[in-house]
Formats: sequence, structure tokens, C-alpha cells
Amino acid sequence: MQSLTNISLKTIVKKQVKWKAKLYISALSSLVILQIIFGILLSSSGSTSGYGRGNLSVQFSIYSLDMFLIVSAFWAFIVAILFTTKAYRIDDLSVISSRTSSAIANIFVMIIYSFIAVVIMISTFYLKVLEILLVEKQSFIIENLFISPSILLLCFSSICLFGAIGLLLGTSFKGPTLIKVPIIVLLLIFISLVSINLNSLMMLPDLIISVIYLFVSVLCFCLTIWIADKSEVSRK
Amino acid sequence: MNIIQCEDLSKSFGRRNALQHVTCAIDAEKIIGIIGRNGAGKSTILNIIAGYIKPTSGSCKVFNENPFNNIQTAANMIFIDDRLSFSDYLSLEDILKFGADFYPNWQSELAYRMLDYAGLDLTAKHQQLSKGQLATFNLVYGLVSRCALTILDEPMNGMDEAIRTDFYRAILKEYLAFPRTILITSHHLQEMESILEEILLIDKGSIIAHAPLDEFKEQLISLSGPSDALADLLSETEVYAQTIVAGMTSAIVDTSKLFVSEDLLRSKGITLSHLTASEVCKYLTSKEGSDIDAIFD
Amino acid sequence: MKGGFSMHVHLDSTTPIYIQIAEWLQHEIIADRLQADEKVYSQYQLAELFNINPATAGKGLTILLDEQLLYKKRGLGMFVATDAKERILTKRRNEILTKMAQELVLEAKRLLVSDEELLVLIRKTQEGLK
Repeated sequence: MQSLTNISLKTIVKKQVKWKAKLYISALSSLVILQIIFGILLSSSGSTSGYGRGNLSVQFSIYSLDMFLIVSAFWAFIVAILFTTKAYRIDDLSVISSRTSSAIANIFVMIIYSFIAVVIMISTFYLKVLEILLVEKQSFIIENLFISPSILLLCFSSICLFGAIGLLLGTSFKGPTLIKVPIIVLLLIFISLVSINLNSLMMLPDLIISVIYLFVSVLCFCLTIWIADKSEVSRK
Repeated sequence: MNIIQCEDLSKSFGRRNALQHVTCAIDAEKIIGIIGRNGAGKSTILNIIAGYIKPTSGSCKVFNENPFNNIQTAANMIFIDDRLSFSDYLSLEDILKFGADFYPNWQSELAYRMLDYAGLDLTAKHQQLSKGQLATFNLVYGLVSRCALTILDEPMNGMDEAIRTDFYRAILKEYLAFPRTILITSHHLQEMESILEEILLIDKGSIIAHAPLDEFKEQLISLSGPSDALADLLSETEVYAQTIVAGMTSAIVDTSKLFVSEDLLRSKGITLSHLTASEVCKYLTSKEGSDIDAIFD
Repeated sequence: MKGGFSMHVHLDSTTPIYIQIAEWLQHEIIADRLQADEKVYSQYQLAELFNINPATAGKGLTILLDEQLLYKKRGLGMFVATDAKERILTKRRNEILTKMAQELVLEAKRLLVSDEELLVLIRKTQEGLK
């Protein structure tokens, strides 16, 4: 009898993460393009006001990270769903893998990409600042050119959250029917709860929001793995 | 320990029963041909063995474990069919590196030589290959991975005849160099017959036969001779098919239910001839009395 | 890959392959290409030679082993029996000629040729071929 190979889940997940992070890189380049289009080219400034009294008018614009964050979060959601589509799932079958290892690998890739997305976000933001300084030649009152770590964490956790929700949604779509329905219902409830409480939610300090987002992300990740574990797959 | 053990395995997709109460065992490294018409259940059972889908009832054990979503099973198994796919960004050469990174027994040198022999350009992308080139590459990928359980689902689909012959030989030589359990499905049994050790015949979700190739072929035999000489004989045995032309009858019968010697038959003017494995498959799976000629009569 | 392929012999598809292998080996012995007490091909070598499964080749070897035309040497493989050639020739003579004789007699009966007429015909044929 041929002696069988023994491979740990950890080894396989590591290999899958290594390859997936490299192969899915076009997702990141699409993010860069999106950020440039929406963040720099298309976006007008935050708000402009004119105020006149005694022949003095002031014009100011507010620029914020918001647009960049929205683009990143939206991107993470779409990319996460893409990761769970048939074409990607089938590619996993061409090497040593299980549904569990692929799900865990996708999660790690999502986390890595979220981190890189924050970097891209910040870079494009500073690019915009440069553009304003050099192209529009306006001067600045800088409230916060230096972005604080808590803001960075908030960005990361928001992107991660949308990615996690995307992965969960995508995975449950392919999962056993008994699981599909409860998950979708759960998500709808979750979204409605959030939108109702959005205002009060926004009042909380950044750090707390980040923790909540990260907690929900981890929850989504765990559910994703749990569902993937039970899912069937087929090349046809 | 049996390599594969299926017990009362059933699988249905909605209302369609793809497999019904299948029990079989594969006990050692062998080359086994899995034969059956389209929709007979071949792909279903292979997908269960590969751990891609779950049975509806019954059990399937591969290397003594449940293969579903099992990384240990996956580490010793490879499933090759025409839908094997890789990322668009990988050239064939990259794909070989990809495989080498995962499969511990991977034979890089051999892969290069086989692909060179087949004339494949390693800088091409998987999606750019023609049907025949794809089949060749996929088969090479499957063989050089040297997995203890290698499943080849219609591996020669699209290859031209010359290269098919070469690659049946490649499968045999690789098997001789590194024995493993190889399950091959094909619609061209006569081409691959010589390299098979056993045949597993599936029809309408059930296993009709599972035997060493020679035993399988000897199950049925063809008798031909004058109709009157054969008439008595045929009434006492199981007949699978019969044609009567100008007073001569030709019949396919079950060998185990034939209790006369060859000499006796010859003295009556009845000749005995063996069937090819494909013919045996055909007769064992065709509907009672169905015949293409009947449509045209 | 092409090198060792030149000895590929064509096998017919209805006679069991292992029987064809046994026949071929016996033929090789008669033709002195396999000498007495010489090591015979292993099932793996036969598999490669004929492009067949080694288990099938093994069955062919087993037939000859059972008929004592081959013998096994512990750990070294299978060898041609000392008297294999003579035994095969005798066996063939009996089998083939017996079969031919049967067919000849049956056919003669069908054509309404008497036993004496048949014997005369045989004598004539033997004289003619001298």
C-alpha cells in the first residue's frame, strides 16, 4: 500500500492565501482606479459656502475621507461576493483544498486586502490634497492632515465589515438551502436595525465603533466558515 | 483497509435519483474503468468519492475516512475532467509551479517532458488551449501529481487518435512507475481495455457489474448456428439478444447458465465466439428487446 | 517514450488477453527465444511490452506456472522449466491435431464422405507433400 500524505489544514491555508493574494491582485488595481475616479476626479468638495457681510465673502470647502471610505467599503463588498462565485470556487478544486480551507483563505485575503485598501485610501486622499494645493492653488486650513490611528482603525474595520458581510452573503447563497434563508433574513434584520440606530451609532467614539465593526466581522467570518463546511461543490 | 468503500450509497438531486443503493469496494492500487451511458451516475459517484458532494443516504469511505470536505482525503486525491480550471493570470508553466507547490509527489521534470512531447507552449494560458491540448495538459497535471487516488473523467475527450494512444501508454507507464488507484471513465472502452484491471459498469444509478476485466468479458458469449439446433438450447438459458436470419440464429447468452461443452456445440454446427468488453457492456445495459432497427421497421 | 514501444504486438480483442500472453510465451519457448532455466519476463515487463495491465500479464504467467512450464525461485522471479519446450510441443501436437482431426471428420460426414475415402485422401495428401 502506498503511504498516504498527511497535510495539516494550516499548511494548506497558508499556501492558498499566498497564491490567492497574488492571483486576485486585479481586485486591488480596480480599487485604485475607483478611488481615482470617485475620490479625485469626480468628487467636488464637501461643501462650499459663501457668506457675505460688509462686502466680505468667504468661500470654503470641506474635504473629508468619507467618499474614499464609501468607495472602499462598496468595493470590499463586491470583491467579497466575487470571491464566492463559481469560477473562483472551482479554481480551488484544482489543488489540495477543502471548502473549509478555501473559506479561511478567502477570509485572510479579505483582511489583507482591507489593510491594503486603507493604504490606498490614504494615498489617494493625500493625492487629492496635493492636487488641491498644486492644481487649484488653494490654501488650506488644515484641521487634520495627519490622520489619527483611531480613524485608520475605523476605516479598516468598516472595509473589513463590508467584506465580511459580502463573504457571508456569497457563501450562504451557495450553501444548503436550510441555511440560505435564515442567513438572508438575519442580514436584513441586521441592516434594518443598523439604519434605524444609525444616528445614535454615529455618536459613539470612533474606537468603540471600530470594535463593534470588528466584532461583527469576526462573527460573519465564523458563520462563513461554518456554512462553507457544509456546502457541496461541483464543476458542472 | 479498502481504498474506497461505498455502502448502500444513494444520491438524489431533487426528484432525480442519480444513485440508488450502491455498494462497492475498491481494495488496492488498480486501474479501474468506470463505464456507463450518459446519466448513468458515473459523475455522481465520482463526485462523492472526491468529497465534492454528500450522499443523500448511505456511506462512502475513502482511505477509511469520510471524504466530504476532508483535507486529508484531498491531499491524496486528484479529480481531472474537462472543467479543470485555473486563474486567468497563470500560464501553463505557472500552473505547473502551482501544482508543484501543493502536491508532495509532484514530478516537475516529467511534466515538462510530457508537455514538450505533446508540443504544448508553456507560455500559453489555460483558457487559450484547444480542446485536445486542454485534455492533454489536464491529464499530464493529473498524472504528475502522483496522488494515491487519481480520478480521470473522460480524460481523452478531444484528443486526436494518435495522441490518445500515446497517453493511454503514458497512464500505464506512470502506473508501473508509481502504483496508485486510477479510476478512468470513458465512452471508448475498446481503446483503453488493455490497460484496465477491473471494470465497474453503472447503469441507471446502480452497479450492474464489478469484476476483473477477463471475468467480465467472459460473462456473455455469442452462439450462432442453425435455428433448429439452437432452439432447444436457448429455451434453457438466459438470452440477452437474438437475431434470426435465413434459418440461422445468432444469440448472446449468459455463460454461467450454459451447461454444454464446446465440442458438443460444434458437433451440432453451433459456433462459439467471445465478445469484446464493449459488446458485453452494451448487452448488459440495453433495455429488454430494444433495438435501433425497430425504429426503422 | 517511443523507444521501448517497438516490440508492441497486436492483440485481438475477443480472446482473453491473459490467454494470448500465455500463448505468446509458449511460442517464445518453442522458438528458443526463451531458453530452459532462463528467467522469464516479469509481469511488469510484459505489461510494458504489450501495453497491458500488469495484473493481466500476471494471469498469463500464472497459467504457465500452474502447468509447470514455469517455476518460481524465491525472491528472484519466474524461470522457464527445464523440459518446458518438449512439453509444450507435445501438448500442442495433441491439442491442435486433435481439434483439426475432429473438424476434418465432422466436415467429411457433412459432405457424405465415408471413413475409408477419408483415409485414402489423407494418404494421398501425405504422399503429395513428401
